[in-house]
Amino acid sequence: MVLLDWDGKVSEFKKKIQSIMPGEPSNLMCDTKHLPPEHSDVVIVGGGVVGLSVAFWLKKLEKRQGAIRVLVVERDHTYSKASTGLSVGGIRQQFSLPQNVQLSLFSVDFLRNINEYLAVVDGPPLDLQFNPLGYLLLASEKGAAVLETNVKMQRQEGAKISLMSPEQLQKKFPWINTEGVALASYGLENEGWFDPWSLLQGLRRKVQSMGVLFCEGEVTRFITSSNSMRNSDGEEVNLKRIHEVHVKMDNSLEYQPVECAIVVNAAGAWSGQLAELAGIGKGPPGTLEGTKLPVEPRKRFVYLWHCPQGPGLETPLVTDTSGVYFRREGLSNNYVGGRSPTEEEEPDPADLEVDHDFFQNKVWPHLAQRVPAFEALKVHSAWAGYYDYNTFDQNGVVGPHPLVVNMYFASGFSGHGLQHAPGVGRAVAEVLLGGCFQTIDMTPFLFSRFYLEEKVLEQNII
Amino acid sequence: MLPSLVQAGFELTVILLPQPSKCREHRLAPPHPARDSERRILQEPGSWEFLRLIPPKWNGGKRGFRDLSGVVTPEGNRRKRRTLLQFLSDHFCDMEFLRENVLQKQMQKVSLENRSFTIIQDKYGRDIAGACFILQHGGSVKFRDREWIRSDEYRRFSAEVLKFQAVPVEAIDASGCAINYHGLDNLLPLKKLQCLSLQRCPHVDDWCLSRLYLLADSLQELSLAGCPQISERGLACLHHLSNLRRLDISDLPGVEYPGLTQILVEEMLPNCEVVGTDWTQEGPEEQPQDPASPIHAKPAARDLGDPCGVS
Repeated sequence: MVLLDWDGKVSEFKKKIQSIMPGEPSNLMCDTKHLPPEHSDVVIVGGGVVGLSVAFWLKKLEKRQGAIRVLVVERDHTYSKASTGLSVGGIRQQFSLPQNVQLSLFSVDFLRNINEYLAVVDGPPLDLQFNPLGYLLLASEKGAAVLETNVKMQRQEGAKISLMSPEQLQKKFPWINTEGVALASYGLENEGWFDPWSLLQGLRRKVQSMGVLFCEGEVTRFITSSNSMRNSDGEEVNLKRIHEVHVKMDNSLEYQPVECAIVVNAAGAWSGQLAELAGIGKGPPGTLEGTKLPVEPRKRFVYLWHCPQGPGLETPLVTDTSGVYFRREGLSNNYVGGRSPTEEEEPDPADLEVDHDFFQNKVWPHLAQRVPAFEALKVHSAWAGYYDYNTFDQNGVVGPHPLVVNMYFASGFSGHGLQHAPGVGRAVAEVLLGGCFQTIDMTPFLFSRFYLEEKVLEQNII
Repeated sequence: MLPSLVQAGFELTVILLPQPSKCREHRLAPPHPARDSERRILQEPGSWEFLRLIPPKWNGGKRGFRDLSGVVTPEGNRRKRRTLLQFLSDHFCDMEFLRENVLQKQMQKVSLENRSFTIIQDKYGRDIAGACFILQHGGSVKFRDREWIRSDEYRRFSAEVLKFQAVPVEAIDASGCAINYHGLDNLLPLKKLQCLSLQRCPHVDDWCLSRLYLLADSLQELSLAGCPQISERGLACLHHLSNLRRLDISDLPGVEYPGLTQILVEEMLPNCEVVGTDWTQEGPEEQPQDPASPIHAKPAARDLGDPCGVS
């Protein structure tokens, strides 16, 4: 039950009496329905799958029901540019970092039991449309040793991955041309793809029923205060604290200052810009103050094509040695796929226009080489989405900032944010509520690695 | 926070008794407002608090901000007929809590029933543990060279099962049993299992099918008829079962295009006889034929099961 805030009520009452007095501006009839609340314990900037996952776990792990007020600020409720809805929707455990494997394992567990986690009274059960067909990673001679080491590590963490030689591969999937393939790893269980939109809707519904507040607006300013301290070496360190978040409403100049205790940066591809607003990176280069959040939007294309003689029902998500990937979509011989461009080929992320020449020149030749049936295909449609790309080491940033002490990060996943969202949400909630990571140790993912130049490189980026 | 039904009930009785005028003052709004009018009153925090001279006993005033996302919340604009229970749980926190609890208990019940029989497993071996698990759920088990063993209507079975220590389990009939993903832990170690029937199991879904690859070496017959939660996405993972000779995928309500799915599954498992949709639904000539070689049935099914675009 909410305790009676008697002093607050008396002061508000006095304000109202004052505004009736002649000469004072009358703000009795102010309509504030559309504005966010004036106070909130946690403000999560970004209402995609990662932001909603953090909100869900905060509400789930809070010690007393209703203890924390959480506000999710999302500037586009249609999610037209958000990476979540535009994602291909894959989930795999085949990563090179143990923490990523553990995150995926937990996320798959979450997805399997989604109707227990996200059950809402009187709500229909969620159907994620999960295809448990696995990922097939092909490696050439050069990459075979690394693949084998990775698979060994993944198996140790509990993933069910099998290694296949080219002969076994040819026998199992006769439509593959195994030329140039030295080794392949195949996920037998807990890997596949699902519908990210239904996960987002399910999270939204559950999180609303748990009492999280939503606001359609954009964060334009942070009001911070700073405190100077000396560290053990005698150097002066400026610690900052965010006190207020200014949320600007859509299509108007109106804004609401939200007083908050903690801000979570789950803004996906735009997390870098948001971090700059908070003053992260404003300082002499080479110092901790001058270290920016190295997350920027990178555009990726996904193409949908039809191939009447293409691979059948059992097709996994195949990742070729050239970086091209594809998977089956539906039952009518449609396939979805694409390729990550090299640094030189990076498209301009200013808009989400699709470059069809990229498919013709960079994707199709490799597809046809690996699966001869794909020589005859017809592209039906294509779309583009953003990766929240971490230019430093292509892995997520999770946890608090060392100087802006109440900003927590949950972004930079460079293409595997959707599949790690449940695990990351739980990790952020744990460190926010308890002070340290409890279930999965995400300390290598903290912000400080950018300053200390310690890369945690993820090799299996698709 | 929503008001409490118990508290509201208590206050209603308090109102009905003769009271001094002070208590009646804060009943300016009706005690059980309709949802929209409540929202209108309560979303104007200024006016509500202005009218209120003493704080109300039941804290009905804090619903306002939850409805900020009026544009996106599907419930806000739906005009469907609500049941009494839904109405009560929308307005009162203890009803909401109670219903959430009941829902959680129902889900926990299924997981409790699917615990692993580790003690029996350690003592008598995995085959016997698997057999006991199935018998406990009301299914039947067949050991090699023995007769089918069933449990009675009270789920009891004779202890002679424990004597078959070195005999592998050959066939399991788990029709209608409440087995789920975790319950399969008891069945998957049975490396000599040849026949498995999971007909009409309410909790067997695509995730469960993705685990069946562990039985690929021995499984020859599989029946999934009538399972409500299986879709073509789960059927696609059956490609691991290379020794499968007979697969029954009839009557699956979760499969959207049964004819097309059957064709694709037959292509995926060339050595397997796939019993699926009843071809007689399409035309009169298919029935007496062997479903393993539906030479005449296939063209008819292809016309009907035409690709309908991206599913």
